Amino acid sequence: MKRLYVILIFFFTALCGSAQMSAQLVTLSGHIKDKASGEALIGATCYIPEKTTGVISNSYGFYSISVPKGTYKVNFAFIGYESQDHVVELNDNQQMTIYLDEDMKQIAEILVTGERKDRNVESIDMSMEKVSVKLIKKLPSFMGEVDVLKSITLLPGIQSGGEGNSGLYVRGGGPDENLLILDEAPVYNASHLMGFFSVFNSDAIKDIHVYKGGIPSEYGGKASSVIDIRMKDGNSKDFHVDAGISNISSRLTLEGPVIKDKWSYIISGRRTYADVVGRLAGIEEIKNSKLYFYDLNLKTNIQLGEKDRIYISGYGGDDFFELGESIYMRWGNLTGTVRWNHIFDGKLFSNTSVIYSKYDYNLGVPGNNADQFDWSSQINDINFKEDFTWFLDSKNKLNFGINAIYHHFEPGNISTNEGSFYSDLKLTNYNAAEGSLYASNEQSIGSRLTLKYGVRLSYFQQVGVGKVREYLHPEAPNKNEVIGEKSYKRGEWIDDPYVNLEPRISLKYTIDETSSVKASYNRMVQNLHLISNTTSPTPLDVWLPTSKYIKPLLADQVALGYFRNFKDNAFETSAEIYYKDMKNVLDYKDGAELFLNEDLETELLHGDGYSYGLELLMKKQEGKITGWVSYTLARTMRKIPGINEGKAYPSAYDRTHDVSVVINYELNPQFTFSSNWVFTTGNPATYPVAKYEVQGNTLFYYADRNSNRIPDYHRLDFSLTYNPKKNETRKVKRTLNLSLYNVYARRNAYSVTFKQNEDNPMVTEATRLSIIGTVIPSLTYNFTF
Amino acid sequence: MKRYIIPVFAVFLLAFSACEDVIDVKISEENLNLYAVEAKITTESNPFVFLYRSMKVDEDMAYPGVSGATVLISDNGQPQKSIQLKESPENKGLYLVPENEKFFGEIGKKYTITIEHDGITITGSDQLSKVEPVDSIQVRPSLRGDKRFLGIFTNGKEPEGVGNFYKWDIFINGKLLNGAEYLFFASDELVDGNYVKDLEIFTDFHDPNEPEEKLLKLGYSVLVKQNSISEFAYRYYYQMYDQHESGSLFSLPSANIRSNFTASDGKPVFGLFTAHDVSASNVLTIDQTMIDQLKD
Repeated sequence: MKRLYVILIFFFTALCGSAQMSAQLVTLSGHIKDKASGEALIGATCYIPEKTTGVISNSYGFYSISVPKGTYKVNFAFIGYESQDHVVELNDNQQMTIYLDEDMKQIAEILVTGERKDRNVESIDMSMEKVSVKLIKKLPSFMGEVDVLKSITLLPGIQSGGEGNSGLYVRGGGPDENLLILDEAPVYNASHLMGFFSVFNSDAIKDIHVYKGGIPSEYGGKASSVIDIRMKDGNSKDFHVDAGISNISSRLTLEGPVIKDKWSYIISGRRTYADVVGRLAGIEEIKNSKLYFYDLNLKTNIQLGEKDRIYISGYGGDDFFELGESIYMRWGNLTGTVRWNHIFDGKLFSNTSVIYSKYDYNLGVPGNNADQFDWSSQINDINFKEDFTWFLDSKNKLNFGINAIYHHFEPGNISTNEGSFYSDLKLTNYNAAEGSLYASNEQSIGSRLTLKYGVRLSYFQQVGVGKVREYLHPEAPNKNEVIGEKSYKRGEWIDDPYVNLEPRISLKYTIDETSSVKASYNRMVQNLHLISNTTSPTPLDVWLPTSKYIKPLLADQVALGYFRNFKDNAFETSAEIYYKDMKNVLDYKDGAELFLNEDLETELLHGDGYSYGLELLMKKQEGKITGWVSYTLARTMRKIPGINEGKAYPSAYDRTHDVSVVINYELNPQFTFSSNWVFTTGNPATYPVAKYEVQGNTLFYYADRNSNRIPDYHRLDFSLTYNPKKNETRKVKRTLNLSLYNVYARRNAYSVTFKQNEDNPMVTEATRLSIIGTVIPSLTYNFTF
Repeated sequence: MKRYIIPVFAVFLLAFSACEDVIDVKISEENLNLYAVEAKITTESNPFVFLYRSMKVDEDMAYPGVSGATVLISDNGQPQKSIQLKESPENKGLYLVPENEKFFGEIGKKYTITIEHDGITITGSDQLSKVEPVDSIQVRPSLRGDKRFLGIFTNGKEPEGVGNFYKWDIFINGKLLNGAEYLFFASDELVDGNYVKDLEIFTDFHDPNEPEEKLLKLGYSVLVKQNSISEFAYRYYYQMYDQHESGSLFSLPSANIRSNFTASDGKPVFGLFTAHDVSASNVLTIDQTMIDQLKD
């Protein structure tokens, strides 16, 4: 508590001084937008050279700058757009909406970051990447589908689980430790088709921010990273169609104004058709089968006067798999967000959000056969958020807000028809209330030092209806040692709440115009836990809340970075080191049975972990050749009593070396060549040290956990985009993209296991499983008008 | 029976199966040379105990049986019954009930094996529970795979009261299907007290276009033995299946399987001792009418 007191005193002392100073200032505020589409530009700058002060537009394109009365030249800029200078006579508070034109020359050069060129040096953000959707669309794709999540694994510190694995491992964190939000709504399972694709349709996406560290206090709930994805708002100027056809999928996006400049909409959908193509090709096995996924994104936004704007957005997507009368499986996400932006007086911006999110799945045997069943599970949330941005003066920007979430978990239900030999089953449902308060201030001190300091206070508690089992040894629950069960009525609080204070501190010291040093510390608390002991997450995994037997996962991270740009920001470089300490990490007993288990707490093990590393990045942002090279050297360890005799061992997410090389080369206005090459140290694995036999089957004895490595992973991809010569009079624009995935057909190992030789069972062989062992070509035709 | 639901998911994963090949990797050169035991007692036959040593992973010979041990099986009845086994002269390390003696398992008893060798005592126990009789079996097209494969189905009553565990042994032409991929075992969760009709315990997923690879062929006989197993054995088979599937998409990481044997020197002992009540089914012969039901 003393720590909180000290932080709050510091916070309010700083603000009081600023408030006094701001009394004589006037404010210029408004939105910065794309002139062609009316889309808000996030991270655009408003700069007054005379006062050497500036601000950056927020997530809704809103800016606010306060200066003494006077006449100023104000510069508005955003990378990829022509900057504008306006002479503004500021005697009173004033609002001004700015429309920036795309800079076709810059666009042709393929923009790497989508932000101002010196952002990495000037911004206080560290361990943060903004990924341009324009760039992602130029990168080589897998089976014709560009993927925003796979693309961010080309950045340092963010590792992919490999083919067939949707997991993202950020600085040693597990796949459930990333706060994946789409228009603020959490997406609990972002994978389609067993992880080969993500649920994010790039045509509907405007902006992606990835925070690996230095995480702002407005974000919370997950331990390792934030992946904040914003959908497009919809073109408020003209009706616009964007579509694409590839080997296995098609996409269509419609957007336009309902009332020009006031009310716009976007509808974006895609569907795969592997099953349809397979049937047309005469593949007997899928004659009566379904195998596809679809996504549908909807959004509309309405300007209500100068000060208010309403956004309504939604996403729905499902995967379907059905093998005739044998089995079916379906899983999907549904999200909805309603937001109201309000500007109070030019300085205070508020966003009020009501958010719904649901993930559910079904697995079963259809029809009326004796083994018919339907297994379902779901998690859903209702979330209320109130966020404020207060542009106090040119030196202070204050963010504060509240967040309240009601979680509902249904870990598993089995329902059956009358003729089935199965009985119905309903596992205990859980409910939980999660709340948080946060405040932070970004403060410039002098011309070189910027501080961002804040705190998040989080609260989590289960709510009835519910029941909690009592065990003889609650510190190590054993299902044979149940000594009682306590039931709770609807709305009754269950056990004690978990209250955590999460300090967030960042600083930037500008060395000169081209270089800066940054440091950050953040604590993150996670109260939702993905229960999964498989090598990669499955659609059948369930989420459970923090409880009497599952403690919140706590992650403390410090990071230090040096940022340097060269040749007028044409080259951007950075080096960061980090150390992350994790408490209450979950693992599982050998042979743990997690599916449809009422007593999951008896299968869990609890321990600690740590991760540290060095991340290097060099980007070339301008010219005919753009791209980047990134390198990560890292170590991620776990120490869990009950595993490896309690000794520290490499986590499954440990990758020693990780290299990405991304190159875009604009051959001429018609052809763009793009390539990426990735290299990763092989995943940790446990090889056996002895073998024995039971019922004619060879079984293995393993020594130290994860003491071996499967072969290293590396892969080269190419893409060539053809943009036919533009005819200015022609409205339709077309592109053709040819991609080659895994150009040199490397058989990257998904796993290495030991098996008996089929012909001579006495011989044991190391067997490599490759998910993709060949080159995968794809062709995509895109058109817009 | 929850265990039976999981293979449904496994069928789903078959659609995503990828390519496998054999590679060279560096593995431990040390030979742990630890004891391993495989032992079984049933209500229908005499018990056996096979005592042997573990081998290095890259050794390619038969497991070396351990001779000269004293092997005793006893129950927990009053009065206690026990028998000392005798090493088979033909098979080193295999200990059997002496000729002309009988020591069948009895329902409700707990059996303990005690092995003395080189000053080390190895012990292991298992509980023998009653199994309900299997009413009948059938061979007909499986619904898994759109009626293109033959399956074996059983019918029988599951008695009321949670806590029964089963393993089905399938004999084709008198030969046990012993591969881990054919292991079929279940608990009575989700089926407690129900009549379990048409339980598909085996599907012959071999390519219909490769008739030689099929296991269920015209004229072959099929016999199923429904065994009771203990909860420990159920968990053991569960882990045995997981270890066999290790490395495939969404499989579990490699993990050791805890044996129900312990050694006086504290070192691990591998293997499993099981006690079963056994109910044998009718014997079916696969005829043309069964084959004709398959889709082309």
